[in-house]
Amino acid sequence: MMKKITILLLFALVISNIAHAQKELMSLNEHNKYTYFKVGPSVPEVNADALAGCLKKNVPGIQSAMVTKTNMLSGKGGMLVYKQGLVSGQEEGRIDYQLSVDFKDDKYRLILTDFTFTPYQRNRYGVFAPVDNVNIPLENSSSRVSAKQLNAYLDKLGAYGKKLEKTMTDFLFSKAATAPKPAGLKKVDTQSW
Amino acid sequence: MASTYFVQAQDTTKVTATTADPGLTFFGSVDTYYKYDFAGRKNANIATSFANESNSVSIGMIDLGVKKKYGKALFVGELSFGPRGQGQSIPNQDVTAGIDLQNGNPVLGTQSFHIQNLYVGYDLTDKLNVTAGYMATFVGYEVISPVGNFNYSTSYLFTNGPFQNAGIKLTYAFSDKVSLMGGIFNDYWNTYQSSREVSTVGGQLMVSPVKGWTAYLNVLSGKFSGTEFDLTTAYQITDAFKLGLNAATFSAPDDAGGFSGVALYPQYAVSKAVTLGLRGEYFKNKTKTGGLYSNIFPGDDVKAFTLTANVKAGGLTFIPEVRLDNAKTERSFIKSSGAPSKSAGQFALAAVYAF
Repeated sequence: MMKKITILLLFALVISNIAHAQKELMSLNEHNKYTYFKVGPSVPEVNADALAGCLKKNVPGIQSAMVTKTNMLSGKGGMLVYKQGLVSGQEEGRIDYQLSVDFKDDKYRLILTDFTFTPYQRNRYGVFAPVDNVNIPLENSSSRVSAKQLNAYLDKLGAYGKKLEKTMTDFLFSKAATAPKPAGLKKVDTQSW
Repeated sequence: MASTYFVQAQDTTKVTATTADPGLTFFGSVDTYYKYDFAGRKNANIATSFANESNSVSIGMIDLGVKKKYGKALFVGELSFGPRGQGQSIPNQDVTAGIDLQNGNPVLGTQSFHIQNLYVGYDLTDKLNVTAGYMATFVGYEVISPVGNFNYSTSYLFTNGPFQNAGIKLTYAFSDKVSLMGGIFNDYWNTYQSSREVSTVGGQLMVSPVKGWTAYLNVLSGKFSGTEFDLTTAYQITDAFKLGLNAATFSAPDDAGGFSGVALYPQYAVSKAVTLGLRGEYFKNKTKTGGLYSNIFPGDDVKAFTLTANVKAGGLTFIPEVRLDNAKTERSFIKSSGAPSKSAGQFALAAVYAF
């Protein structure tokens, strides 16, 4: 019995550490904005349109993703965050973000940044909804978000960014990633026969 | 902390969002208060809703709700128990115990609960939603639940307007800045069923001109329930300062008077845990009205000033409040001597726990 309890406690401790480790994936960029920033290997001639479609289809919360320049993809998305504790399932707020993916020299650069927080509150109809269209940068959210909540949000954002990155890298190293070569006709010398 | 993902109504890019089922959501509150009427009256001098027991440690209500939203479907069921959630929320459906001769209200009968919300909703499209059932009214700034109000006492506009409407409504979200609602409702406010027919129509235009500012233009009209036009708006001007406004005019059926009024709600957060707010209200009982609105006589008006603090600690909000009402004539209030008075005042201390 004691052995089972010890194993369970160790398991809980490991899971807790994994969850909190996701916060380490977040950083501050040169504008002091929270950022999920990753650079990694890519393939030549990425089919950016197909990648945009893959992200929209497979990454929950992405609202838009489109090719904005050659070798650059931009978009935005968001996720709801819920209260924990005695009552669950109550929306506490929503975090929106801007997404960009660039390709250069067989590398990708993935950036999730410009995180903004919209607090939710129970309304007269018994549902949790945005408060008066209030929307604040996550860096300046101390009036609405406690330090403990912020740490938890950064954990979730780190995990979300990691999942998005994995979806992207799985796609990059699949056959669909490479831009199709333009259909060309064979050239023949009709005088040589 | 759990998270899930969503698709916004204004999204023009069709996306497939895989959402985790959030399960059933429970919510609710409990509240209790002590109130002292400055004239020492045991029965409330100021006759707005709730918190009407003076010089008593009294209870408001236990509010319990459950909701689930998954995919396109939603349901909400919310019950309340206790004086605020029972007879004071609506005319008590059970009148078997008779009428209180002092105030004309039904004596609380055997019913011990009240439905605050009971409805289902469905997203017909990304932008269009249909909802049907018994719902908190869309009209007005204040609500029944103490969790939804900054002040513990309520305004005259709230007290005399609708609390709930049973009906069916469609809401179209043009964007997150503009939406339009139209619906049909039972003939009378605040009843689970119609008396005769479904004949009240209602509409709401929501606009959010800038970030932090939301305004609702409301209308509710029926040949039996009368017609109310209402403006409800709130603007979070800075992180600390919020300004709310409610203005309404009600015309009773058959040209039988009505009421009108305006209330301003400036609130300032002095710290993360403490916010101070002032409610300044002007309320008038129209001349043609055949009866009283909250002890305000036809042709009379009242100015009410309420200074309130919200002191928060987690889910608990501690609410000290002072209120002074000043009527046009000496018919609405009573002094400690029993003589009529133009003014009344009260002090209240309330505690609300929301979960």
